[in-house]
Amino acid sequence: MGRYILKRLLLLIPILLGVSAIIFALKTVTPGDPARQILGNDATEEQIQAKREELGLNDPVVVQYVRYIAGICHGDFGESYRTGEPVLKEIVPRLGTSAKITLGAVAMGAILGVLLGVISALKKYTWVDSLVLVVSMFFQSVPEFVVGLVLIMIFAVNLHLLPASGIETWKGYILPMLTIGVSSIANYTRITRSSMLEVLGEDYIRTARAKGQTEANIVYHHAMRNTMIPVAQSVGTHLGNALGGGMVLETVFSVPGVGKYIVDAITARNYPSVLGGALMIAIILVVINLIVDISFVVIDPRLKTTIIAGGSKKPKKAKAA
Amino acid sequence: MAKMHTPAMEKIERKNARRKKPRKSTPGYEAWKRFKRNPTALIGLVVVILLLLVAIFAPLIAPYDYQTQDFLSMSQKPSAAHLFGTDQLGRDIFSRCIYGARYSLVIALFCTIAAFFSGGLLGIIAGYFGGRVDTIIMRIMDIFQAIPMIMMAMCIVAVLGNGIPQLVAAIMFASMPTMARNNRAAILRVRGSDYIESSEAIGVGQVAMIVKHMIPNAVGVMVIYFVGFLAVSIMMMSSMSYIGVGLAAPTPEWGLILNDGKAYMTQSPYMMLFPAIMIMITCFAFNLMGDGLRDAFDPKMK
Repeated sequence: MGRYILKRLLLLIPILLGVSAIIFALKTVTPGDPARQILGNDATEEQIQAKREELGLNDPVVVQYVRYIAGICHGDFGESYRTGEPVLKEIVPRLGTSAKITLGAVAMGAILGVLLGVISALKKYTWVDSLVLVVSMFFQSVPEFVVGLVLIMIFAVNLHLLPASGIETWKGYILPMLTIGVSSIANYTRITRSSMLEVLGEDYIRTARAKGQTEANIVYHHAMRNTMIPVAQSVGTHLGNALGGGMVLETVFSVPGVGKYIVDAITARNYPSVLGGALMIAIILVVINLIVDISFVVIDPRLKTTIIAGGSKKPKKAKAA
Repeated sequence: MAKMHTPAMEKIERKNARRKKPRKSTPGYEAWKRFKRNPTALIGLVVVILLLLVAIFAPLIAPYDYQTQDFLSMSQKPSAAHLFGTDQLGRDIFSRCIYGARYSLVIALFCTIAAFFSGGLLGIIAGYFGGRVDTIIMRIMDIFQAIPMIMMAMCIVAVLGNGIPQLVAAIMFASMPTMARNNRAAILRVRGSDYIESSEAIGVGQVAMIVKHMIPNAVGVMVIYFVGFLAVSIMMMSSMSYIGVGLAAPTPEWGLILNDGKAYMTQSPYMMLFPAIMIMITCFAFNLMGDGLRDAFDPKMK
């Protein structure tokens, strides 16, 4: 187990090197001079040259890249072109905000989705089942930002119940969480439904029925636990996707999270911040995937052999969205 | 014994000749039979066809030009003259939404084709050759996958600038890892078949093997990815243009129309309502159709 974790963590190194190389490459081909960008349009040629020298922009790209990687090894992600603050210092508090929203949203989506999935499985092939599947699929197929806008129009503009943007009060968290949560219901509903149907066909459920258990008891005590195994895995994947894909939604609700930070940085061509954000997200995704795999073994020890033996095998990615 | 030719027999023969030959049972036909039985998938297909017609006949349907500004009728509520109302520059929102179908579908189609010819091709190569080629391609794709798709697309637009070809390139690059992975899996499913082994034994060349023998058998799965990716690219395109990266101003793309209406959300919510509905209908229809295709081509995957 320890060796397996170590091996997975070592995989982080090539991924981080690769991610930073890609974004470094994008940075070098982007038109515009960061030095001029920092100093503004009235800066003299000498000032710009001095700034370029200070930022190390006159060195070859490879030298810049190696210097950047060496910095990361010391926990230095560079400084934001816009504010001059260290990128890491700017990102960490924003990560907290994003994490709160992501966790709340995933919890909301998972609870609603599992509930609907169980209903759908118990009422299989009836109109209830079809309705649940079609409605949850609607929310999955519509882009999150449109769902967010519609919710803003209903709850903020018309009913004046919740703020349209910002997170000054706890109320500000509700709409973004609801949006991400609702979009993911379909995934959970589908997984819960098929898993529940499979479990209900098992022998031990028939035994439980034979000894006269009530149907409710069978569903919620006997079947539920085994139904949850595939659901638990998709929670992990969803956490990663929601955190990485929160960029548009955080911009829609003007939530000061990592996603909005990266969007702002990209539009302002503030590359140290883009790099820092991208690396942060890559690290978090790899760690979440690892935790998911390990928790899988904890939930269902039978899987120990398949997951750990197939060392490089990754959990299946959900639909890219 | 000589064959008899009575009028009655001739009549029967003629009738037999006229009767349709029993339809050959190809995988495509089987899939269509399954698809036809799925009501939600059919609804999806009908809506997609309607959208295509709207896109093709946009100039005939739209009552106004999508970028003509009419300063005498600015920010008007929906009325008989302007079905969806007008925006802050007096442009007819109905016409913009209609032209939006044309722009969104065409751009999405380009994105999908480009994605198949880049990431898809890489995946096919990786799946076919296997071994070291596979490892190298897929490890590189793993690295690309560590960057969220929309972030990658936005970074590329930041480099190339706003515009339709730039956006297509950005979505193509961003989708490379997913596309490669899916197409590789599709090829790998075919790769192990006996008939591939026998084709190899009789000396079919590698290109002919991929193009003539493997792709036709993986085509069902690829169609599913194709339709699925159309929806994904409409989603990405509208999300990106809503936050102001990707497409430039007068283009009547739905996300961009939403972006225009953003500032007037409280006074004139209808400016955002109609383009939002268009995006919802389109994405939902493509997904319904894609789901139906998945069930039709691959009942086991359900």
